[in-house]
Amino acid sequence: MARPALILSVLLLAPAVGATGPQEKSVKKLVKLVRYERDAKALKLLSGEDQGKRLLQGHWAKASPAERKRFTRNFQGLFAALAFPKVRKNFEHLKSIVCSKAKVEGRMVDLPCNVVLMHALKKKEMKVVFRLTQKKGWKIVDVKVMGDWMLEGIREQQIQPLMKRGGWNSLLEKMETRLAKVTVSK
Amino acid sequence: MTLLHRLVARYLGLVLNRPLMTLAFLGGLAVASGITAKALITVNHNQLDLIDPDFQEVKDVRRLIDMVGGSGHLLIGLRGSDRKQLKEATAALAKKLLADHPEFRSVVYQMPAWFIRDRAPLFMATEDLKEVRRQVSAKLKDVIRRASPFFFEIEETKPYEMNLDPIIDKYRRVGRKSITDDFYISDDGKMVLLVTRPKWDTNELEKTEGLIRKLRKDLADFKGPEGNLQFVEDYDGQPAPESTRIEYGFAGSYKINADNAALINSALIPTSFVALGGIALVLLLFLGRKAGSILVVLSGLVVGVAMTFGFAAVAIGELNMITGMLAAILMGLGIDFGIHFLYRLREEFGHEQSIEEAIQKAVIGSGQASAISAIATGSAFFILTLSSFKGFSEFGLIAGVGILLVMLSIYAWCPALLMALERTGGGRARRVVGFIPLEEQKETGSERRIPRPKLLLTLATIVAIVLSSQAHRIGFNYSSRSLLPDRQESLMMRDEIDRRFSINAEPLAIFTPNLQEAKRIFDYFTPLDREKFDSFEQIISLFTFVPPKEQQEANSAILAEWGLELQELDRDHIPEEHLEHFDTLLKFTQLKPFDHGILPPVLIDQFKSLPEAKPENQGWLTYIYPSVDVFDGQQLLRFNEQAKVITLEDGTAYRSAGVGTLWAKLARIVIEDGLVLFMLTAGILLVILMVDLKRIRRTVVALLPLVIGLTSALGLMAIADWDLNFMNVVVFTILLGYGISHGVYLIHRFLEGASPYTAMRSVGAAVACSTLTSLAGWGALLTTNHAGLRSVGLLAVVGMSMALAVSFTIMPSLLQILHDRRVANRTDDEAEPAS
Repeated sequence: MARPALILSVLLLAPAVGATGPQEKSVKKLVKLVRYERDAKALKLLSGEDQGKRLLQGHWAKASPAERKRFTRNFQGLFAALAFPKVRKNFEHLKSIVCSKAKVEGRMVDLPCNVVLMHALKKKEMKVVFRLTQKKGWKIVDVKVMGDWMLEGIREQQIQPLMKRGGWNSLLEKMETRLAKVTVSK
Repeated sequence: MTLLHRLVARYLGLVLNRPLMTLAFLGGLAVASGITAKALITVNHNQLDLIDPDFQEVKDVRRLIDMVGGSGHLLIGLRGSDRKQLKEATAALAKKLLADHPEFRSVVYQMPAWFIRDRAPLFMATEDLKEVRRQVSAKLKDVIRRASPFFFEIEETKPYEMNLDPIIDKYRRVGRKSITDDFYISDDGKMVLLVTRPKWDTNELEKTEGLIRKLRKDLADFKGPEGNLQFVEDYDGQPAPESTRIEYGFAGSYKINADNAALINSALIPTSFVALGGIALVLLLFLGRKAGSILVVLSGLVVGVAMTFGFAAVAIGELNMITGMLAAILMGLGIDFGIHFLYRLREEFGHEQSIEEAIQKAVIGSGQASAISAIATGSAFFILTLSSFKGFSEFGLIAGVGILLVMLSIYAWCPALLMALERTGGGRARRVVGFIPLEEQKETGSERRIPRPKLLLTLATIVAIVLSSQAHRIGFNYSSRSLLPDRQESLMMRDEIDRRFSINAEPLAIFTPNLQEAKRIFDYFTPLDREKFDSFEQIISLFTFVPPKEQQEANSAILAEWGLELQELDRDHIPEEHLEHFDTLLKFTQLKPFDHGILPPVLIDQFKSLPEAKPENQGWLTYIYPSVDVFDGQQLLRFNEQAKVITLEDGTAYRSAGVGTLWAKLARIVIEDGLVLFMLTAGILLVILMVDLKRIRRTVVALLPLVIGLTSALGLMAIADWDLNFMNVVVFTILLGYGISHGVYLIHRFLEGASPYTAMRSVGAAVACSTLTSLAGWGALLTTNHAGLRSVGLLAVVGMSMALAVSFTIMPSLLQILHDRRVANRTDDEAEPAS
């Protein structure tokens, strides 16, 4: 009995670990949605909760649900307003995204991908690692480019100084002010 | 009759009875001397030869010269407004100089700074490299983060700014050279240096001057690589706005030495004319219409000077920078004998006596004082032969012998010439010389006296005391720069080079026979103990270009680790504007420790002896650069004191050598010898006067013009802030001679029984005439633009003027008081037998 159970568990786990299909699918879908300016739908492919945890670490656990919600809304709003246009620009000449074998990192999965861009007949490759988590489908948490995790950088350079200066209120107000600004300028 | 009297009588007999033979003999001797001098005497411009060759400093410099071909450089500064054009012009010019001028041993305008730039991280202190890594990594991270398509900011921040300038500035120069450009180019890009070394040393002045003349001609014709440039010699310090005009100037020890010598030589020629003119004017003023008498004296003078040069040819065979001035000095001193003889002769011609008797009395009367004066002055010069500076010792020997020869020739030639003239027609000699009528000379019963001697003595003494009381405040200006003209071109260029390149002076060099010892010296000075060696700016050796092994290994490890980090980055994701830096960074991370074996040959050559150096002089040099102003004598001495011998912890001692050690030695000789020689001269003069005058009181009186004149002169100079310096301090010995002669002539005339008024009228007039001729001679130096020569003239003029003033105030008033007592005693003696 043990052997069939073992085989079964491996087969069940295989799509999550060995096969890249669903994670790669999520990534490609995200990129496609962003490229076609379907920002709202693209945001749904991001795991706000996990992003919040990564960005705020201990502060996240102490935050109230209202604060968390407000943070996630602001963060994703800024992400869409500021990062998505850059992604559109950078991926304008996207040729392909080819992902290799995912690596499990606790609850997360790191999916290394090779993004191939063709610009003026010049091929450029970008190695990107997408960190995903499974929450009603595979959601993207973080992105690593050139050895640098996006959320780590935002946490170190942005969140931590703001939290230190004025705590949650200051951070949230700052985010809302920035969001209002970028939304108006659009 | 004493032996001396008999000899003088014999001598006079010969001269007066056989004047033509005397003239023929002296004339023949003078001609032979002149021919000998012309044939044998050379002029040695080599300043190194002026210092005793047995001095260790001289031996060290000679070794240095053999090792590298010279102890300094000839710098050519090229100035332009267009950096690129300036560099191209420099490269083309350097090529041309090497091709067309075999006089150059080397012409260098760049050094392989690329070697250091390519290894810059290994030259940094490890802590600095860590800081650089931290900042660069932070910057790289920021650049990559911002370049990421997923990057955004909640609060807009500025990109990370590195602040590496303080660290970079520390390493912008290695050695004395900026590493940002291989050329010896100033930071502002307006000047490039051509560092050349001729095939002779800095003290061969004629060769340097010849080379400079050739270079000027060549540069005037040279049009640059494109044929569109104009090279103009200019020292104003600012580049011309037109890019086609390249301005150039010469500097460095070769040029500075040549300029100094040329300046002195060129100053002496016009001043000689001024001096001659002044002397002629004074003589005409005093001797009236008796121009013939001037010719009599001058011809005797020329004979004496010619014989002196004959002596110099046989005894020494060459003249140097200092003995080259001898003719003028001897003429200035020697004319005094002729003037005193003439004045005494004019007195004697006023008496009813034969020409022979008149000449005899004049020779004996003024001759004794002249002889004492000549012996005293000659002794003062002979004392200089004790100096270890050949410039002084040779000068002292020739001048000492010369003054005696001039005195003897005046008192032989002039009497013989006058006797010969008399034989061509009776009374001719008297007509040529003139006479003072007897009635003017005789006492009239109420004897003419110096009026109010006590008042005159009191007032003059007060003035002398006031002035002399300030003598101790006289300053000594140790700066040799202040002796030079402000606008000497080589110094102006030197200052500009100093301003643009932050380089000060030629270094001293330490010789080691092998690299191991050179390394030990370098290690001893690393880091430089700035408390112990506070006059050092930097030590440069081959090992300046090889960082310490431990540092290289530590840095190499840091770089290797960093390299691994960087290799993980995708070069394609580095923004375009940072790619070049990134690639350079990657290259740096591959650096491995190195040793001197891989240094470029052109760098090694700067520290290594020439292949043609003698086997015992083959080795390596370590350079010590001063942080002090080496034109300041005191600072030079301090630098030399700290640098001359370097003793390592194990007791091994190494000597340094260079132009600086020689100048310091010279400065020390002038200061130490000067005082000793002055004291010796003063002692000898005292002895001579005591032997001559036999009484202390008479000796004291005879010394008054000298002592009071000198102290008053020093006091006046102190009040006026005129300092002593390395050049004018040698005038003291000459002043001793002048000052002593005033007193000797006056006291001798007085001791003959003449009243002070009579003595002043004859001898005093001669003293005034001779002093004024000397003042005319030395005073001419005040017209030069060489500050050192001006200071010599100033001290001589002030000193002689003060001696003259004392001779006409204190001395006659004191003599009048003594004479009044003498007359009173004589009257009492005469009255006694009667009572």
